[in-house]
This record gives sequence, C-alpha cells and structure tokens, in this order.
Amino acid sequence: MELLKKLSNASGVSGRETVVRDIIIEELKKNNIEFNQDNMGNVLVKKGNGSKKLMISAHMDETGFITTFVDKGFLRVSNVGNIKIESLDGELVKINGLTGKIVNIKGEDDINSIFIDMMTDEKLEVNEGDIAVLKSGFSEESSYISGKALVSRALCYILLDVIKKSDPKDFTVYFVFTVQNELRGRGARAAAYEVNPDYAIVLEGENSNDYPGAEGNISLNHGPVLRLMDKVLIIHHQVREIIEKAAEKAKVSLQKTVSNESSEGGELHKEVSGIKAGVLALPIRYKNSSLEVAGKRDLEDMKKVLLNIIE
Amino acid sequence: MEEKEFLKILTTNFSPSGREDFLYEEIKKAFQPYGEISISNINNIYVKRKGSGKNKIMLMAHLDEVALVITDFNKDGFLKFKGIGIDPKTLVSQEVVIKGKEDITGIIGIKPPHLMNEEEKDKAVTFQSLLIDTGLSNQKLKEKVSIGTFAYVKRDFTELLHNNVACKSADDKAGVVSMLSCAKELEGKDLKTNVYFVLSAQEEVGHRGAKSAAYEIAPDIGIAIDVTFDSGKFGADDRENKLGGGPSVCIGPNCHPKLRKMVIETAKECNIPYQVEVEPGNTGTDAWDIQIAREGIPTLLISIPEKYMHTSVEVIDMDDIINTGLLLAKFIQKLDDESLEEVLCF
Amino acid sequence: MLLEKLSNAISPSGYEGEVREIIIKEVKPYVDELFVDKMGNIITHKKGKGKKVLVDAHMDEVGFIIIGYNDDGTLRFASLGGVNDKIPPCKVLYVGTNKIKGVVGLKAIHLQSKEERNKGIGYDGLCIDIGAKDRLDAEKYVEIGDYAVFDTKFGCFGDGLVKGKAFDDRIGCFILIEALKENYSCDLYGVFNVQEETGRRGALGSSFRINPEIGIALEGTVCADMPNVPEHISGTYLGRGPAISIMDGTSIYDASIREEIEKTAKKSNIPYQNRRAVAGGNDAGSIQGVKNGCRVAAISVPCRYIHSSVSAASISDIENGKKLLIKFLQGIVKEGI
Repeated sequence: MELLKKLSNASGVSGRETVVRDIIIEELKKNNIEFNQDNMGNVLVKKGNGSKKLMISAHMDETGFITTFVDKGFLRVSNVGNIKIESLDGELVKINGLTGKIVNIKGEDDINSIFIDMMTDEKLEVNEGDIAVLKSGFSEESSYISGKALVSRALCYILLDVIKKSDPKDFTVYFVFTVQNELRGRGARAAAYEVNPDYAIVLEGENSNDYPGAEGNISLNHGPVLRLMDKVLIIHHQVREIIEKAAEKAKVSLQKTVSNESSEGGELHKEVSGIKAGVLALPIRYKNSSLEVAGKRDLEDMKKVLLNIIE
Repeated sequence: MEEKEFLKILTTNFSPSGREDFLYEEIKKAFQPYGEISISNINNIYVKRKGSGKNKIMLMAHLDEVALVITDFNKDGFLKFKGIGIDPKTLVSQEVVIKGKEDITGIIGIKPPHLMNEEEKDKAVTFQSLLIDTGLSNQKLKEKVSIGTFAYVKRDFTELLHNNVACKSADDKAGVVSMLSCAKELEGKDLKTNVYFVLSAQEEVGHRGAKSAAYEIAPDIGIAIDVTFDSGKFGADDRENKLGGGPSVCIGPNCHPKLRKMVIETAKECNIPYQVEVEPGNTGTDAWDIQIAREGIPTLLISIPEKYMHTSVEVIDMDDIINTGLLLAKFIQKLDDESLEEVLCF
Repeated sequence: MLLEKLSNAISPSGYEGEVREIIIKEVKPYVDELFVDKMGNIITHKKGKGKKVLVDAHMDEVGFIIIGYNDDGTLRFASLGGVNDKIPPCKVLYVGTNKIKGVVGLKAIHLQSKEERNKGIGYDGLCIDIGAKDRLDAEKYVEIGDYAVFDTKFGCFGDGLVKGKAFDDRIGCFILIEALKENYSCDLYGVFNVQEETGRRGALGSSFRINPEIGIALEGTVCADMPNVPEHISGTYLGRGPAISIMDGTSIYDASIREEIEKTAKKSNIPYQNRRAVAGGNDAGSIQGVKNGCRVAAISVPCRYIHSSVSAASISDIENGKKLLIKFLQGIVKEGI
C-alpha cells in the first residue's frame, strides 16, 4: 500500500504526468522490468510472445486546474479534464507547494463561477499556466482505501502488480501507463496506433452508487465492473467473453453496467483497422473529488481477473 | 435478390450498434455474387469488387440501427432500459423483442391515463418512467437476459401506397439495399475501378466504424450513403427533400465540390431523378469521418429521403432506393474512364 | 382458437360487424332464441323458470376514426372510445373495411426543439400516413368516417400470459360465449352489446327490452400492478383470479350478489380478488339505469395496459373467470338470491 499511497499523493494532472511516471519507472527498474517511453509520454511494458497482442492500459493522469488569471491573492483557473464544478466548493488544492481553497461563488456548474483563495496578501509565487491539483490525503481502513486520484493511481497500482506477477502464455501483452486520459484518451489512442493490438482492455474507475440518495446498482467490494457500454465505447463481444471467462476461472463475480461515463477506449477502438476493446472498471465512490473511496477486495479481485486473462 | 425483399429481411431482423455481425450471414448471402466478403475487428463488413486497375472507390452505408439496451432489473420481470438516439414518445404501447439467450417478447406500457396527474398527462414520457414488461419471474428472466442485452420494437414490414414502405431501421438499411442495387447494376460490366461496398458499424453511436474502414481500405474516393429528412409536416424545414424525388446529393464542406458536380451531371445525363440539400458543417454521417482519414479522402454524401427517422415506422419510397443504386453505378462507370488526378485536383 | 379470433377481429365502436358475425356463429347452436336488435346488439335467450338474469359483454373495442384529410395526403383522425394521445404515435393501423395500411409518424428526434422533446402531442398534432401523394389521392382510398384499429396480433406472452388488442372486452365476450354453452335453471339473457366505449350506449336499449332482475357485466379491467405504480392504486393483480367489482364510476355493486359470487368462488376453489379501483365504468351502469332498475354485479379479468395497442392478461384468470361465472349462474336456483 505504500506504493499506492505514493502514487495517490503524487501530482500528475493531464499533460503534466512526470512525477507519477517517475514513480512507476522507479518501481519497474527496481524489479528489473524493461520498459519504453513513447512520444506522448506513455510508458509501455511488453511481456510474453504469444501470437495475439493484448493491450491493457491504466492512466496516470488526474483532473486538475490550470491558472488563467492571478488577481492578488485569488486565482482564476480553467479545468483540465472533466470535473463537476458545482461539487468543488470548499475543496482544497495544492499549487506550487502552496494551499488554496476553491470557492464557488454562484454555485453553478460553470468554471467561471469559481476562484481559488490562496489565503495570503503577500506576493504570490504563482504564474499563469501553473497547475493546481486537489489536495492529497491517502488513508487505509480495514476494507476501504481513500485518497485523491484513485481513479487513475489505484489502476496503475493494480497494473504494476499484475506486471510483476504475470507470465503470459497465449498473448503478447502490452501493459501501457497512459497520459492524458482525462482529455479524451489522447495517450491511449497514440499507444494503440503504435501497438496495433488484437484486443485492448482499458482499466477505468466506475462511479459506485452505494450511498444514500444515489441511484444505480454498483457497490464497493462487490467485484470489478464489466462495462457493457459507455458513452464512447460498446464492448466487443469477444472481449466481453475473455473477461467473463477469466472472472469465472478466478471465482470473482463481476458487476455489470451500462455506464453514463467515458473512457479512453473511445478513441482507441477506432484506430488503425479497428480494435476489439472493452472496459473493466474499479468501483469508486465520489470520483474526481479529493477523497475518493475504493474497496480493497475489489483491488485484489481485479488483479485476479487480469492475471487469469493473461495466463 | 429483389430490393424490397432484401429491405424486408434486413429491417425485420436486428443489428444494434456493436452487433452488426448478427446480420453477417444475410449480407454474405445477398452480396456473394458481387465480390469478396470479409468482416473487420469492429464489425465493418467489406465487399470487394475487383477491377482491372488501381483506383479504389469506397461506398459506405451503415448496417447498425438505433436500439434499446437493458440497464437494470426491476421487480417481477420488469426491466429498466434506455435507447440511444430514440425518442421515448415513440416507445409507448409497443411490443418489443429482447435479444437475450433466446428472443423474449416484452411490452412497453404506460400507467393507465386515469391514474396520471395533470402534469404527467401533458408532459412527454421519459426513459425513467418506462419499463419493459416480460410477464416472467425475475429468476426466469435472469437466465436469459442480462444488463447490456439489446432489444428492438417488433415491426412488420408494411407496404403503403405507391411503392412506399414503413419499417424500422430504414436508417440505414435503405442505404445498404441501394448498394446491393448498385452492385446488381454493375454486374458483368468491365471496370478498372476497384469498388468496395462497406457496411459500416456503429454509425448511430457516433459514426465509429467509418474511420477504421477508411483507414483499412484507403480509397481514392469515399461515398457515404445514408438517409435524410424529408421536408414534410414532420420533416425538416431547412431543406426541400420529397419522397419519390430521388437521391439527395449533399452540398457543403464535407463533400468534394468537383465530385458533387459530376454526380449531378451523371443524374442529368442518365435521367435519374435527384434532389439537393445543403449541410454547412458536420453532416452527422460516416462522410464526416471518411473525409479526414489517413491523408484525407475526397468524399461525397448521397442520402435517401425518409419520414419519421429513428422511429419504428420510418417511411421510404422504394423507387428512391433503386434510383440511388442506379446513380451510384452510373457515376462509378463515368469515373472509370476519367483520370482521377484530373478530377480531384483543386 | 376462439379468443385469438375475437382479439384479432376488427370492431371498433359503431362498427361491430366482424365480431358480431363470429359470436352469432358460436352461440347459435346453444341458445333458444337469438336476434340482433336495432342498435346491433346480439340478444340471446336460454329459457328458464328461475330469476331473469342478464349477463353482458360488449363487442366494441377502442380505436380511431378518420375526420379529414391534409393537403399532403395524410389523414386527420380522432379517438373512437378513449385512447390516450400518448398511445397512437409509431403504430401501424388498418383503415376502413379495405384494411388500408397507415402509420402514425412522429418528427425525428434530431429535429425536435427542447420544448417539443418534453411536451406530449395531442391528436391535432398527429396524422395517419398511408403513402398517398396528396389529398385527391388519399380520397381514392379512404373515406371520412372510416375507422382505424391497431394491427396488433394475439399471441403468447411471458409465463402463462397472453397479449393482444381489444382484451377489453373480447375476453368478456369469450367468457360469455363459453358460459352460454352450459345449462342453467335461471332465465338467462346473454347480451353482446355495442358502443360501450363511447358511453355504454348499446346496453341501454337491450336492457330496456329485457328488464332483468339481476344484471352482470363481464369486462377486461384495469390492472396497474407494475413496479412504477404505487400498490394502493394498482386496481387488480395479474394472476390472482377474476376481479369482483365493489364500486366504480357508474355503479355501486349489490352487496349480497357480491357475497354470493365470493361464496361460489370459495366453495369451488376458484381464486378471486377484488377490483380495488373506483375509476372507470361499464355496461352495468346502463343495465341498472333503465326502467325500474335492477341489482348489478361485475366480474372482470385483469388486463395490463387496456385502451392501448397491446394488453396482457393471464390465461388462468380467464379460465377462472369463466368457471366462476358458470358456477355462479348455476347456483341461481334459490329465490333468495
């Protein structure tokens, strides 16, 4: 969990994933695992030499803010990636080592309705173009973990573990840590063009609805979520079969959903001559807030399913 | 195979976005005499009619149709669902077929009107207020149906007056049939051009198949064939398409101006009725993605006018389908003699 | 299969001919007298020495009627009997005696404004498209006043259910036909009425003529036992047996007759339920509303989605409805009833 804590607390907004990438690379080097970095900044690990190519991706980036205007002790920003503006009021952010507080003046879902109070009247060491990220605070309970950016970092953590433990039999597996997922999957698309896999499984986070007032059927610690379709990708029936068979073998029960969310599978599956793709997701409460919650059993179950796919 | 027969087979069967392979056998049967058939990773279907030369023309009509998808189980055999690109008002009091492990009949009904309050009576229904009734227990239902299973409105192929027909998914099976019509017209003719008939996947969810199909085939010219709105009472008032007026040729930045002029010349020369419509930007069809594939592809959009789009009673004139196929065939033959470089240069 | 024939037959209010023919053929061998009155009601009589009992079912179904033409060749239409305006869109209809096919279309969703997407459409916003070129062309095929009905076909559905159109009240007709094939000691009039859906009007004339002591209406009735309707307003449940009415918009049902029907059901082990809704009405109102009136009861079979293009009912409810009526009528021997 130390590794996941480090990943979760690290700052890595879309397009600025350096710190997160470095942690991942360090971990790969520590375990003597060969890797590649491409033009976009994706990190690729290739294992196995089966006849079919399988690409499994997890993204490194999180949503954040980019400074557009500095007004004495207050910042105006634009959002990097999609984030529900109306739920940000009161959230704390970190920018250049300083702490700021988001205030949503009109309570609207409009980025121009918020400013960041840097709580100082002295000269602010912040310039236009600087990135602000939600304040971190990883913590572990008996069955849950919580922190920021689990939507990306928990999946990177899962992928790293799977890389270490896997011994691919039928596939040549390309494990890809992608950039700019929150910006319509730009990193994943480029990686897919390069790798040109036969199958692609995209790891994402799925909003869970297991709290008062939420509607839906996804809960924490009830298994990884098989997305039959989302806003940008309809799962290929063969990929669905691969995932379902592996889950059965691993004795893991999957939750199923027709999701209202997006994924980097959207741009990916339209690349080259078309790629058979699907999304396997980790249930997460309060996605894109500074304190997301995920289930520890789900992390383990997801690893089991992925290992069973590969072997 | 006759055009009306083929349209009936296509529209009374089911090919939701993502599962165009459901109709692969029927497509193979129909197009077998006209070219080599294959299916891509994401279910684009290619029919390649070899020519003696190097030029490639790609025709594309999408095989997928708008559909319903099961999103959750309610109680007592009732299912929650949603539709992509479908107006819930069109689904009230309909019989549906759920394509699970076997076909299951469902009924979408509404609350008895005398139990509705004033607001419910005036407002349109929403997907949240609709359920599919299967008359089965949840236990039996779950053996055959799961979240993500597709469903469609059961609609017989209905013949109206004057060669008009009403059916579901004329968008874009009418386009597919016009490609068959074109293939029939070209049969036996010696062409230098290689003609690719593409039945694209997932157009209705964002023309997702077109990009990879165009990448795969890398044609010199791409022609998308889709349906378009008529300009009647329930149609669009920003154009003048009439059922029976022939294929509608699109004018706008998505369409190569020289090619478009040539196709209209062809229609005039061969006495084929045609219409025109203007699209100032995104045509919302496969043509949009074809044009920017690879290094860019000169593109045309030809559309068959239709009434009541995305309902289960789309109305189309069979003569328009046949004339579209004829126009495409004559256009391909005209281009066959020309030097493409001359035609396409700016 | 008789119920299938009845359900698929085309007979909207005022145009009951097709169903009338079917019923006459079926019951003629079993009754002492049969004739068709001036409104088109079928009146059958099985002579008996006991009480004069009238059992009624109505032949008509809800449908539509053509009220005019549009210049583009489409037809303007109105509801014939109560069909809510949310029902007609995107249906295939048969128009007139020549069964000309037409569709009720809707504007494509892409073309609708936000307001249009959220608002319902009334009958004056809808039309029937038969594929005619213009008004003159349409006039060749369809006349003003022609009726139109849904093209729904009867079939099996779910577990032990059937689906089809016009269950209100072809199910009632079916039960009455079957009941007329048995024998009774009461003086039984089996009446198949017209125009119930447009105001329970056929029943007025036939009841005036017969002037019964007891009137029993047979119906296909509202059943809203769907998960998105609060249970207390569901009316009836599918599969729990025929429903015995308590009260509705046109009658308060006789308490002692209700009790007798319940006793019969219990004695013969026939499942039954109460019709808990008080909305709606049926021919019992007309039967009781002429001459010196009479005591009335109603036995109904629950149908989900009545007055729409396709309803669902339970086969066991239909069978049990038939059994209950027959047993009850056979029990009307004593003067006490």
